[in-house]
Amino acid sequence: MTLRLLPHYFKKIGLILFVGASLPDFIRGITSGYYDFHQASPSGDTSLLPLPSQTLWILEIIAILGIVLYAMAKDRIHDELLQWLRMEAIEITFFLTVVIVSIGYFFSHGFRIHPSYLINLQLIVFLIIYYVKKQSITSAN
Amino acid sequence: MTNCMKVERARHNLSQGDLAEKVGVSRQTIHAIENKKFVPSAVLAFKLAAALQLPVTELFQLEEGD
Repeated sequence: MTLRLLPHYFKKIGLILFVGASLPDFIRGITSGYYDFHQASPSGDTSLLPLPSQTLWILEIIAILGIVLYAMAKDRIHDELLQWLRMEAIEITFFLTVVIVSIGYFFSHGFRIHPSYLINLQLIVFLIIYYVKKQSITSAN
Repeated sequence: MTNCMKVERARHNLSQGDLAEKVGVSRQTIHAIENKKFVPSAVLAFKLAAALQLPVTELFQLEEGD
């Protein structure tokens, strides 16, 4: 089976989109946590970077799109070994996410997972497994 | 599946990188095949055999349990 992947330069585009779109939310997360801990905000918004929820939602979609582009882009040299490792990483990611979500559901009746968390979980688990597999198979002896 | 790629590569005085370039894969793929971490496709096996001027059945042999 041949995977249809994007050209290598999409890795850079994906990374720029992901970092750029995640930065405002990252800053919000840190400042919000800081102010929650140290003082109660008079306005109710505990972040240094107050943004409308619509903007945050769009940024979240851009960040997900960025990580999808990164994950779907070819490596510099793309051959059948890397394709095989990709397929293995996809297989492990599928089972791992099924297990994680099932455990949450079995142990908590009201367990709900936000779609963005599920997508991020799958993409990040895939990237980690793919990276680890690449390192282990290409390491000297 | 076992193979004698390392020996044949040495016989032809080729580095892993040279052989990789000849067949159009990465050096890591040659390393993985030589160390039996990866079994190549039939297409790649034929390309490797051609590059090392050997019949594919001499370069790759089935092991017990394959």
